[in-house]
Amino acid sequence: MSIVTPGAKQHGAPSVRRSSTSPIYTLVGALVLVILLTMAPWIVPAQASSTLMNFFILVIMATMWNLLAGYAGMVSIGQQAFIGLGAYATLYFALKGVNPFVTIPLSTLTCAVIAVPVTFLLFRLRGGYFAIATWVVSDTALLIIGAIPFLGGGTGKLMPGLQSLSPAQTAHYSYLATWIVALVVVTGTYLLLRSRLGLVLASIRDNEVAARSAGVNVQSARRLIFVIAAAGCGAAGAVLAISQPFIQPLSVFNIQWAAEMLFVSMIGGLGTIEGPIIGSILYFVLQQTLQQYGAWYLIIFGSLAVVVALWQPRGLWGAFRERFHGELLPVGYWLREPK
Amino acid sequence: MTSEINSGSAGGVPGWGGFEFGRRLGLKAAGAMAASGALLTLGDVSAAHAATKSGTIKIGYVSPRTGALADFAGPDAFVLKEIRASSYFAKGITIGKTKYKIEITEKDTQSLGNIAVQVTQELINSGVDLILTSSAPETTIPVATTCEQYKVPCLSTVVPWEAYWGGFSGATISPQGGATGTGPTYNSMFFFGVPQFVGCFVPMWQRIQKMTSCNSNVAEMFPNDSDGNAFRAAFAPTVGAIYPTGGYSFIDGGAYTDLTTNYSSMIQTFKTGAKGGAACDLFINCPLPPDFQSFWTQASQQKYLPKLATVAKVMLFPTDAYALGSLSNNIATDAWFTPYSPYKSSLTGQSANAFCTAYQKAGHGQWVQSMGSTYSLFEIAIQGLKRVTNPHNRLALAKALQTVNYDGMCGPVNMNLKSSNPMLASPAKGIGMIMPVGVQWKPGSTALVGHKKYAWSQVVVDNSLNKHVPLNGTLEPTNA
Repeated sequence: MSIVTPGAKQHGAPSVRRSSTSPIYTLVGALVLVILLTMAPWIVPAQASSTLMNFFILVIMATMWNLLAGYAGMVSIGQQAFIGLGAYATLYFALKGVNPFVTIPLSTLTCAVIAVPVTFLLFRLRGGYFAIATWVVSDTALLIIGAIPFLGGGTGKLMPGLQSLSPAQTAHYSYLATWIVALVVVTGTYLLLRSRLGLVLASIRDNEVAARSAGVNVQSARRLIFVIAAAGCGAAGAVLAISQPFIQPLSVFNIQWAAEMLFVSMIGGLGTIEGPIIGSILYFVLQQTLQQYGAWYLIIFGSLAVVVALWQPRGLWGAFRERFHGELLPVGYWLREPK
Repeated sequence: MTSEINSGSAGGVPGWGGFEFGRRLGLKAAGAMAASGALLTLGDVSAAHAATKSGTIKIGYVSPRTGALADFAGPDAFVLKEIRASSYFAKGITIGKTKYKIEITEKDTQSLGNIAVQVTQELINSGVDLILTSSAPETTIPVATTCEQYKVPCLSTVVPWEAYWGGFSGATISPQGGATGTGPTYNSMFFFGVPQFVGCFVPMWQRIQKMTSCNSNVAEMFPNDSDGNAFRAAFAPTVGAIYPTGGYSFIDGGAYTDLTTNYSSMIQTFKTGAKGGAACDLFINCPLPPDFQSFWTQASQQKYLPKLATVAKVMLFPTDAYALGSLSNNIATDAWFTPYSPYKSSLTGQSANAFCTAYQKAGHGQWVQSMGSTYSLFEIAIQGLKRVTNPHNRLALAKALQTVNYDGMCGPVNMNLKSSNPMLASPAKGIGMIMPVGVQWKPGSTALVGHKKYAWSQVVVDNSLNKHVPLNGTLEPTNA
């Protein structure tokens, strides 16, 4: 028996690497993309950068939902709880005089803190019961927020602290804030999945019982992921609150957010980092082209989700990967047989 | 757009050259943001004045075409067709010595506040000169506040003025129900508010009380949303102020969340919650349309049968009445536009009656109230444009809209009326009042507009607030 060392170049021994292609391509590609997207407000029409902003918000949410459902096996239909709480935390801090842009990390942290006790309630349930309970959590949050007059109650409240900015400043600052949050979330998720915890999550995703028997502490890994996902959705809620000056509980706690996250992750490919991003791109392309047909575009979305769930359960990215064995953001390892 | 790119390369690119990327992505982005900060001010100029020299006036129209408020926007397609066919919109408008084309872009909010903001931003980014919006605070407040933020003129309708006013920072409603604080600069609206609802409903209550053994207990079904909270705060005090001897006592059913499906406990409160365990014989509300369907069906099943229901925000449209069937008989509501009003279009001279008949002939079903208010949005837009020298000057157009005074499809609208009659006066500059009449739902008849019989039709039963509109029906108790 011989021991395989990753990266060893012994002749005749199998070697292990992250990707089939050189990581240089990915790195250079990512760099170019980051530069282009950072400059976007100055090089594309305002219309496009505003669409991009909504796209980033969806990417953040979908990436977080994918972390929950795709990796940790927790199907949540109540993530809008943290979007709403993130938005309202931002409103709260802004009403207390904090600059709205500075509140983003504060709101993120607030959501993470709220998520910890919530996990102790939710983790007593599994599967479908867990999903329904997350919805209950979200509705409870909605009712509580709606009863606080300081935050505008059910009427909603205007986000303070933005009125002194010029329209172009508002647009540019909120674009950059959204983009940076999206970048941090996606990069963070990528690094997380490459870490030891990522390995634990992959093992839970593939077979929970086997992971348990191998000594994985499933419960605490899940708790950590739930808290991270809540923080991420809180950040999405915070940037949402900044990009949309009037905050109403029924709109930020809308279950449509959960539906969008679910749809995008499923279409793109659950359990991959690229999936939610591909799904979000598809969602926005479809939305932009089909919106003019009114309610029909929702019917088309629904049918698409059914078709993908039945015939391509691993999503678009899953199909691509099976066929080409390519990875944009590799988190696993490939074993190469010696030739 | 060109100016944006030019200014970018002139001011910013040298900075990019000396840029050193850190190892971590986060650092890179933070660095880029810092470097690009200098560009922000340059971007300003191009975005705000993108359309200054264009020979086209761009108008954006935002309404809830789909979702819970879809009925309000039901006639949009027809109204927009009529508007586009009218002279100014088809042939253009001459302002100063320049002839401008007018282009209308329509956007759907899906009845969601966040989508409303999103589509408004899209319109603003595409360089519109003016945004028009209609149908419930859920739609108009997000649109109006976004426009105020981006300094784009905006005109709203079908929103109680109290909810509209309260949406802006610095604007407040006084305990007496007046507009206080600093109002918006770029916004204006026309519709009415709580005093007009009171002035429309209470005369009907009084007539029913003379007719039957109806008591003075009023059930209030007010949700926890913009309209509901505005009504809860203002309705009972306003009734007390206008009818000090009325002796009405109000029983609040509680601030329920929109789209609640079970109203049993509220119904129980209305059945036995008044003084001495009495029922509330009068009923007012302002829910979302689907919520009233649930409530009213359950109320009937559980034998809560108020003598007169005067509802706001619902039962405005025939689809509501068709859905409830015979349960809609003699439910009273307000009507801000009817085919029986003696008003006519300021664009084409077409009468309200002919407008509604054409709608019915075109196969859209029975006339609806919002067709009048949507039509008037565009009339007032033209009035505003006629008062400026440069339609692309946003501040000038916004100010012009706040002083419009004209007669149109919804009757006389004066956006800045100083009057000793508190019902008619503008609560603040840029808020025009139209006067609703009381209508009841009754089985349709060929004697009504267009001579076509529909299952249920609105007839005018009370014109206390607007004597222009003739009565064409008799007020009857909702439940005898």
